[in-house]
Amino acid sequence: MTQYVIKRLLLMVPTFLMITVLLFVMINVVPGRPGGAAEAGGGSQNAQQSANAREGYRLFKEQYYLDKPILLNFRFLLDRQDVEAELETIARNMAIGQLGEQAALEVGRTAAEILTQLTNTEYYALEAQLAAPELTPEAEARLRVEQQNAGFDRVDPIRPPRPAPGRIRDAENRIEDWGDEVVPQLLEVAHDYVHVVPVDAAAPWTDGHGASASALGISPGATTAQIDGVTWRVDSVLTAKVRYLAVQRLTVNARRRVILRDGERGSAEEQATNREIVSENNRLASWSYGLDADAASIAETLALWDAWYADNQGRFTRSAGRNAATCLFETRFARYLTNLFIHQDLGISIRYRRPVWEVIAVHWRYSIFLSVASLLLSYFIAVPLGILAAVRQNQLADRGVGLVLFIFYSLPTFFAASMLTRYLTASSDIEWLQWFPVSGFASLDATEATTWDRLLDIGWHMVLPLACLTYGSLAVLSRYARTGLLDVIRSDYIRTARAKGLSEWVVILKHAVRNGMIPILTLLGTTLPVLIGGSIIIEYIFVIDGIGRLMWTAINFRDYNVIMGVLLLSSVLTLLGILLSDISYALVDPRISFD
Amino acid sequence: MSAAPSKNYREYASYWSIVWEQFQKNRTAYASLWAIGLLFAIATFAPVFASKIPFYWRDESGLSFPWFRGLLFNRNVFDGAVDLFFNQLLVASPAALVTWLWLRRRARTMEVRHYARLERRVLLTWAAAFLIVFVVISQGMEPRTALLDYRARSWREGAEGFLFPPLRISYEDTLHGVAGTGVRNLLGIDNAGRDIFVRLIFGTRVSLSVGVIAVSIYIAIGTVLGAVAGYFGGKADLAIQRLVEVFLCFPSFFLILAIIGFLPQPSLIAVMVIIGLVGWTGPARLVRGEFLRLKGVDFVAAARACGFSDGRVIFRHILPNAVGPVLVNATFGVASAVLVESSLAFLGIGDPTLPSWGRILAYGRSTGDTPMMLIAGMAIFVTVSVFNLAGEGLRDALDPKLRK
Repeated sequence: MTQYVIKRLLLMVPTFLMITVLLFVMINVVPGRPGGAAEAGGGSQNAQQSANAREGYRLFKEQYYLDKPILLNFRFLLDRQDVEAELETIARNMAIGQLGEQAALEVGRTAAEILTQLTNTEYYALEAQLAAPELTPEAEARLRVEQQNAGFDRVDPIRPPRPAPGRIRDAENRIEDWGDEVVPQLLEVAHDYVHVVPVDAAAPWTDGHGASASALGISPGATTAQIDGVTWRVDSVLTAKVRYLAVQRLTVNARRRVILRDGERGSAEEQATNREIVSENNRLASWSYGLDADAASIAETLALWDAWYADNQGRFTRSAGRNAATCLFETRFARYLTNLFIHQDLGISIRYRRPVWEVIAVHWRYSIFLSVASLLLSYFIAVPLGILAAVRQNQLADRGVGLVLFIFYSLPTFFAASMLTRYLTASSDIEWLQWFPVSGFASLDATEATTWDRLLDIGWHMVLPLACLTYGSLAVLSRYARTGLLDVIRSDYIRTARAKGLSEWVVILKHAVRNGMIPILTLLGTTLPVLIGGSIIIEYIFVIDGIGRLMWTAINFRDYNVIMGVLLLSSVLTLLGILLSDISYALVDPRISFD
Repeated sequence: MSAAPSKNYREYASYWSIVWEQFQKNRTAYASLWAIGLLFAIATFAPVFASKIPFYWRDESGLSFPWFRGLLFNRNVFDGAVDLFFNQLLVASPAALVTWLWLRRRARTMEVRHYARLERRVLLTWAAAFLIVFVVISQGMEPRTALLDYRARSWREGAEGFLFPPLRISYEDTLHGVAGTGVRNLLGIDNAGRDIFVRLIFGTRVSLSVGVIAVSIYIAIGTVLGAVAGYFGGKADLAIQRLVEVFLCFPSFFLILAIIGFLPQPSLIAVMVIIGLVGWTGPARLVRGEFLRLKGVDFVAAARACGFSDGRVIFRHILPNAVGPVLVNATFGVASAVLVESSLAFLGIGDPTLPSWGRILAYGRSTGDTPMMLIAGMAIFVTVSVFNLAGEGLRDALDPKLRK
């Protein structure tokens, strides 16, 4: 027996692993991102508000490890070019008007206007005729038609092309998610990024490309470069923008993760470390410069960063071993598994801002109460009914019980619950039928009452939910009890008992029922998930703050950690329940042995 | 194979004809089978009773038949794949009836074995043709086209002759669209001004299609996995058993709710597919058990000795003998799928315009409209009951111990 239990427990390990993996896949594969609502929150407010929302979302992602890749992390392969490409995309979208671009654009606009006038000479000539004061309506109409036929070609001023909005958002998210893994690259870009354009480029905005000044052998402030004997012009505007963005990114990406998450208290030591990290992060946040800063202040800021980088070099040096560790462990999946198995931690609820364990524990007791009470109730009602049906097989009682329970079995819970709340509670139209409270686990003012009164109050509240939760399972249980007893009642030892002259009641209750009820034990394991899951509608209708309602709100709120926690916990309970019912099966029936 | 009245038939009484006879002896089960048929008929012929489009229409531009055209070729009449499917059934039903009568006539003169083959061929051809037409229409349809408001026009002078279905209303119509156009509401309207009775009969389509399609999906998955586990045993069996265990551990309604809750716009098809993906463990275990039992039986050994491939042994020799318990499971499964769908709709998940019974009940509950709750609840109850009753009858009919 012990051996069997150990074997079963060991078999539970792969099952449980599969459950965890399945849940992880489910959460990460389904469309809609975790916390998508939090991102959407930063909509059309002013710049400061949207920056705040953006930072909030970044912290949110960091806390739930959503900034990491799902399965494997190859970010140590990122090089300077990758970072530059994303920064350039963002830079091309930056507002025009700084760095003397406005004047250039003005020139372009004037030029376009002149060109428009030159290409549409006929149109403008007719326009002049139309402006003449004495013009008959017919002539005017004729001129208008002519003007329409002449056509009009507008010459648009040349503006730098902007990337598509989706591309920009992607670039921002990507570089944000890369976090401190790209700090060295960002620092390099901030120092000596140059954007070079061929002097005779036909499309100056698209033909250029970014490069490192030191690789080109020029100083970071140079205005021209010689590559393979060809002269290239440095696009000072784009260069300045990308460098500026790199420093801006540094102030965010160089930050360290706080070790205490929302709602976590932690030890005094941890709190001290956490404070230290926060203050350092705040310091880093101020090390940036404006887009129109002069060379001296830029150099000053960069010097700060260089000194900081020299101090923190250890964080950013890479080795093969470290890269392998990053690849495997700096991922959502690894994080999920370590949290689960090493820290026994289900994460933080997005909605309640508290650890999922606590949230579940608060709600769990209501559901456990409901489930256990309903389980006991259903066995207490169903088993006697099953015995009655078996003893009076094919008689009126048997058929009556069968019919009523069948109706119960087919009656949808939510229908029955809705009708009961409609007629038997305070919301009923008929006054003398307002027996039960409409909803809740207990009255709101119950805390002031005595213990007995409170128990009574809870019991009064639970009558309808329990009835609704129980009636559906009666049919199956009583049918099992009936067939179990019928199988036994024809066996020899029952005939012997009757032949001994025992009364029919003793024969049935003492001899037959004990053996006949064994099959009903197996049902215990399979009713458990039904009980855990089935209460969602009951709790929804009767507004009981149990697991079902928690699950329901978590789904509506996209509170992924809570959903995972509830599913994990209920699956573990079910696994244990199945094991328990198997063991009890062997305990009750000596004929069954697992050895 | 259905009962073909033939002289040879008695001599060849197959397993299924015995089951069918047993089933007919159980009056409740037989009656509920008819009730299921009636439900399908209601679902199929719903547009005949209620549609805002007339059967025929005559005005100064001539005679037209908008209802007939609209059944398949106008998105204003069919509103989704489910409606299109039932509309197609409606269009095909006369031809199907003719085919069936023809088959019955042939059965009298043909030998049973030949007749069985003919019947199988006709059935397969029908199913294939139906599916092809369904795919072509549902994929090839352009989006909604503007439609004449026939109801409003029928009160003006232009209309010379027309014939509407008894209820001139579609299940999406709100009060604003139908006021003053001679529309009767048999069972009143809900809080959005939609006709409850029409939604009720169109709700049959939703419930039945979810039940049947979700169950077909999980029976297919479960049968294949169970067959593989039972037939090959060993590592395949171990892996599939673990997978079954994993799925058994989740409270299925939680799981369904969680997955559907994640989808941004859960359609009816998504509901079907997810119920199908979650529920396959039951049939898988059944089929595995049956395969374990049948694997050692002589006829399987004989089939293997003939050198038949594994696939042939599985599908042609073992599976037909293992189908009974699966069929029972499927019948009960339809009932529970109907329940799951209406529960989801009751909780407010899915397309709010869909005429689902659960949603009608939820509307009734939120507005305190008891008759509405009763009607929708009874519709669900009756549907679930008849499937459960038919399932019980089938189970008893398949049980050799209970044979009369």
